[in-house]
Amino acid sequence: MFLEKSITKFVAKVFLFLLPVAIIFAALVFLGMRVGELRKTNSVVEFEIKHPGETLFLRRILQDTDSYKFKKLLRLKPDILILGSSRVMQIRQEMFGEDVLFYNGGGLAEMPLGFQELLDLLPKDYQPKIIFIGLDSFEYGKKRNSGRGALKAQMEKVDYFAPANWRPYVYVAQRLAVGIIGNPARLFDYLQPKEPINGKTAIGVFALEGNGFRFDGSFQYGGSILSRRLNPNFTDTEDVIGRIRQGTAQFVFDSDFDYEKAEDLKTFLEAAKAENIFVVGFAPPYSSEVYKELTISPRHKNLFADFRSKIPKIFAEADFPFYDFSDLSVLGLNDQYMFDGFHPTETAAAYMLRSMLLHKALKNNPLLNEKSAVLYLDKAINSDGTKPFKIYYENN
Amino acid sequence: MTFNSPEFLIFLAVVFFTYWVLNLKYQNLFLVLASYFFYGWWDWRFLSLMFISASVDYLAGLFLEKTDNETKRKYILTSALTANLVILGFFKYYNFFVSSFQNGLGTLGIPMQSLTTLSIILPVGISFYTFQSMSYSIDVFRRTVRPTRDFVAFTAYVSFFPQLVAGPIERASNLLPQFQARRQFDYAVAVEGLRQMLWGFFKKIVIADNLGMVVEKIYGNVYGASSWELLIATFFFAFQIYCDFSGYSDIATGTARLFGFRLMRNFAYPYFSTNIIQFWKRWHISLSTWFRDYVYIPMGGSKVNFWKYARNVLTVFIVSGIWHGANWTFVAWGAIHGAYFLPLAVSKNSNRYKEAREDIPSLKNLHRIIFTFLLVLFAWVFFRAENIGEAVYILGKIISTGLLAFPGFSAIYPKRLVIIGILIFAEWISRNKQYPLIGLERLPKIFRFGLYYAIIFAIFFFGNFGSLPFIYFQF
Repeated sequence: MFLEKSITKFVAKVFLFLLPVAIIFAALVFLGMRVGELRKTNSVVEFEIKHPGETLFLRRILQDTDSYKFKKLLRLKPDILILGSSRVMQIRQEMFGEDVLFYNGGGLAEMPLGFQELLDLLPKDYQPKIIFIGLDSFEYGKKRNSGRGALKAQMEKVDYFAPANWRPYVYVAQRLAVGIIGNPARLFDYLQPKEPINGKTAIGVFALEGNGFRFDGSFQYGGSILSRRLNPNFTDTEDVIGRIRQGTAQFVFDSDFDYEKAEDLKTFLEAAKAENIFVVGFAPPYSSEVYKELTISPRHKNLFADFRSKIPKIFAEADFPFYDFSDLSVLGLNDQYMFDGFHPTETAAAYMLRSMLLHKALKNNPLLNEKSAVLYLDKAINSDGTKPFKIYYENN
Repeated sequence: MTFNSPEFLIFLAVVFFTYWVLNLKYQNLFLVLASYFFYGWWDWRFLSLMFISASVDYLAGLFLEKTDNETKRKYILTSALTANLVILGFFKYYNFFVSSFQNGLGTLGIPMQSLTTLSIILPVGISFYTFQSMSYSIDVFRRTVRPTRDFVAFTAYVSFFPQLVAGPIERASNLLPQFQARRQFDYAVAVEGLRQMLWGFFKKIVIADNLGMVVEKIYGNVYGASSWELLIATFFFAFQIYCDFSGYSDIATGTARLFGFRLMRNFAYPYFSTNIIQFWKRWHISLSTWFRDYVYIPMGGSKVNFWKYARNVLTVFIVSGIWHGANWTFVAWGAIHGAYFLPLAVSKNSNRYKEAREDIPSLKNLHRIIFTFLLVLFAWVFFRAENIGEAVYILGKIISTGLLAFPGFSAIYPKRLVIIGILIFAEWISRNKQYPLIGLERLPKIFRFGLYYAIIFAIFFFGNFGSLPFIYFQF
């Protein structure tokens, strides 16, 4: 049994022909691993646990944020958890001091059903002691999907890194190659991935650009911070105003408050109470223009007003506090404290949290005591290094 | 295991090496095992169906050889065809017939609940290998093919992995003798095979799958799409299905060449047809000739009176539609093509078989090519839509005032249009060759290899490596 000469010649030629392609592909896969795009989610979580506070994580090509955040939550098992949309993601561990473990689960669950489903997914041996939930008025319209099963579906999504799943490797190699051809200097960034704001180890291409999740699950808007450094007075609310006027994205035209979602919220609060979890509700701020638009827009104002009048009552009935910061001016801040029309900066988030912690309902909570939080926040807010778009912590 | 996966490339390398170290006796057996492994990669449970289909026709061939009694021969052939069609009918059409029957009775006011649909998985490529296997029995019955006693060679013919799941649907007269003869490795033929595979991969991964993303998105939300979106999606679908299916055929033919086999040509630049008759001579040739030889001609073909001729043409097109899938949309698609075909076929128009042969098409031919393409495009709406109602809605939406509002350049996916333009150009200048890369050995090495690498890097940089399967697998 042997191969004819012509076959061996054929095979050798095909091999030599494909060798450069294979080498380039292997190099790109190596880069993908180096920059974190091909790093398995479990491995990312373990690396972060070993190097707390030294990383920023967000992939650009293979995103599985929910799975990452949930795995991290289970690994950290924090005392204080925050849930809500991206509008809550600027609340950080530092704001609670060092005596208590906090995790920002923003993005994991935004709807009342989602809060409940997340609680149900937690293991029996773990419950957070306090959950802050940021509520958005636009989530309570009748047209908005209740999000039933969304979290579970995300968890069960195709595993990018399942054995024999080759597509992510090809896809990442392809995208990285396109990126390098567009900007060859990126090659060096991929080899030494550091994020530009604090010089932490970047895991993922987005993190390399300064955007990503910190150890505590909070989000760093590196791109916005860099542009604000160049132009501190820049405010950007046009995009959100456009969404409201055109009824797109989060702001679909919706005048009717959804009482079913209100019932879902009641159910969640009751369940939390039964589990001895203290829930703090709050509505994060909008920029002044966006706030004004929501109060006058004929296709949004009813929902916005109903949300602001009915939700606090539900919390009051459950004997949990609720704080409405929809109007940024209640914090004494202006639009420079917003990244855009509806995302507060971390400095605004510090003001918001400080305002809540000073309230009687939270003041005496041993986990949220004055020493470790408010004083610390005061110091950070009043620090010379603090800017409207970026707070300066002592340990920063 | 799909052609556009690393698993296939590894499989191909292993099978190629092993195959060429074996002698003829073991080569066929090895190809059978490899083909069954290839098919079993999807679902090993359906291997038995393929084996039964092959066994039935193999035995039919032997029995047909033993008797000259025409009644007995007809009985044998009928039994073999029935067995194949029962398998095909059950796995592919059972639910369609049951639900259509129930709906039909329902519209007559007769509720019918006793028949229930079943959750049947459609075995990949069942229509292809069943038709290939059946053609052998018919050819033996007609005495145009000598029956084989070599079961291994016959099983290899039915299950040959390059063309197993999406054709070309081979005839025993072409492929079976190749399994019975000694194969010699031919360097030039193998290189030619790789070139054809490369072109097939380019069509599938770069063109079909990139267009498929847009088609999936818009056809997945038909009622929320604008007139322009539906028009663009339908236009893209025409090229998606062409590049997907002809790309598969190129990869299949190229792969077969690596093993010393020549498969029949399945596509001959169908979108350059100047009329529908030509289109059907160039699109899915192995299926259209199958229906011509085994359905149309036995029904009398064109050598009958007008009404019977019309019946024959429409029957073949409708059956061809149903062959594609158990849905009324495919029936409509077939019927529409039948309606296009018939007037031209009965006319005495001498241009009906003329092709556009000039380097730059004359205005007359360009007009004919575009008109033919538009007819085909109209019918593709029925092929792609979920149901007849949706197809009618799409056509109504496209042919409406909504088309007057141009959505802007970016909304018509200019990059994808450029890729289509490149395809049309490449195919037009090569339309006298089987595929554009043929005959490259005459070019200087540097150009030749430059072109190969350019295509490989185009596949890598612009390819869509999502999980879109080959469309024709479902048939």
